[in-house]
Amino acid sequence: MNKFITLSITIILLGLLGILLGVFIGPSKIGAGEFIDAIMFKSSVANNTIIWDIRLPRIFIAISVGSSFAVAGVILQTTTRNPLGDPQLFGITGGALIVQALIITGLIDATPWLNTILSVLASIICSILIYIFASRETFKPATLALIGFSVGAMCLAISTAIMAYQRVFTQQALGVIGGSTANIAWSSYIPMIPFMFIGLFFILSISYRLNILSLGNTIIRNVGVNPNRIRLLSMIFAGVLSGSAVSVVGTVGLLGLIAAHISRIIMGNDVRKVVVFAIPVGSLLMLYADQISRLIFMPNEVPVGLVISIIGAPIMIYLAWRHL
Amino acid sequence: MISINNLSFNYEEVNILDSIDLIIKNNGLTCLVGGNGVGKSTLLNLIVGELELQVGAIHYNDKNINKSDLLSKISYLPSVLYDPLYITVQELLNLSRFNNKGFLNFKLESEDKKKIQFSIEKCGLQNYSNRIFSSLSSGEKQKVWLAFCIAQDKNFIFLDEALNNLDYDNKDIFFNLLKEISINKGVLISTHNIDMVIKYADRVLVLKDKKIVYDGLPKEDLYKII
Repeated sequence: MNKFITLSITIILLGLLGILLGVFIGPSKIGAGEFIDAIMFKSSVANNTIIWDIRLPRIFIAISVGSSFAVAGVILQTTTRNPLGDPQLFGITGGALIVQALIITGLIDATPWLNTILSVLASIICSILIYIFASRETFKPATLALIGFSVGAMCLAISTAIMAYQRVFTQQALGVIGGSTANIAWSSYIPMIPFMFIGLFFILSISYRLNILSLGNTIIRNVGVNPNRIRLLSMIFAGVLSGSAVSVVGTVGLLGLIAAHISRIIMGNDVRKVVVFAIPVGSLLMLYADQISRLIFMPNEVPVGLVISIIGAPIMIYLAWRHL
Repeated sequence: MISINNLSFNYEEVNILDSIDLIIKNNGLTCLVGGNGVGKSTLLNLIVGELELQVGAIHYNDKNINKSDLLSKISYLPSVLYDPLYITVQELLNLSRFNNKGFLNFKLESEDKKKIQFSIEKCGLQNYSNRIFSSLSSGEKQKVWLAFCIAQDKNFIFLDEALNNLDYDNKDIFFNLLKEISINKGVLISTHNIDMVIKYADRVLVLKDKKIVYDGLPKEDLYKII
């Protein structure tokens, strides 16, 4: 219980600090008084806009996207018995990436809601593809990761080709491929929320069954559970989470992988605890990566996905070295 | 009692098992022996439903039974087992009593806990229970898997070469344990360990040339038939 309290306090403090950074630090100086005025729409139009339409949405988006990718990462690692599980590494975000490419080039004329729905569907298709491979138990973890990586690389190539064909090389294109939380309107973010809650609720409600998936199919059937049904369902919901997140920020590589491993190292072996704890871990990672992406070359920005990769790769190397 | 009638099986046009008839009783230690690739695993996999029946039928107490109901009577350890990642021996054994009671967790009743504790004691795992399963040696893992089956406490235990990584002394201990639990369970183990078969088996089945060529008490010149 002590550990639980310490962790909760740490998470809350880190979260608050991240949010304060996100609200107060930036190219325009905004003090506490101005912030409170702006929250109540009493400040200048410029300040209201900066707080309400630029800084606050990013914080919400970072937290939502971070928890979605992190939980998807845990699910993929558990269902495929594979420590390399990650929505991007397994190619699950690839389908949604193609949808994003089609939308920013104008080949599909989509409202934010349609964007999210199409991205979710495309991710589900990729999830089912990976599921079909993962249900063949003889596949080694590396084989599955290679298949996922290839699916992902192919989708990335198709997306880039679509953008090249339409001559779109804007900041927006870089944002989709590299992942970016910049300049996203509330209206683009809101469609993600129901999908996120549906995905998280479903995964949490079946997470105790996920413990059993690490046993191998024969033993799973022996304890009276149909392994493939749970595997398929949870991978579909990993697709829902990743697809809806991609529809808002594009792909953010390694986030799911790192968050899942950090969560597992801190919480131990029980998948339920790992899933729950992945939510704050993913949110905080994304929140801080986003602050770095905003502030390091202020007023210019680097895509947040690249920041995650740059700080995530050494963390991952360390984790692999110490714990795998 | 599980009865197998007229069971035949082809794998990619090659006939592996040919009209096998066999009855496995609710008690006794039965050892299935035979050379590599004679179809011992195939036979076990057919009974537990890991492979689809092609020809023949399986009955339980002389009645028809569907695959999942039959499996609920049999604990089965295949010859290839996958290491569960990250979990401890105790957590693995808890999963042997997995059930669908409860919403956010499966619920271990006191009876479940008793059975798990019994299996830990029987298999001498008291000092292992908090170790991470994947860090154990292959022999220790086999002890844990056997404890898993004992904790399930079903009517039958089928083991496919499940004790082959144990050292000689441990093999002796564990065959003895199988003998002990076979007082009220049908235990069937496929093995190459003829010494142990001769010492402990109540019944020996020799599988050769697609047929069961010997079905009876263990005897000293068993290796001649195999």
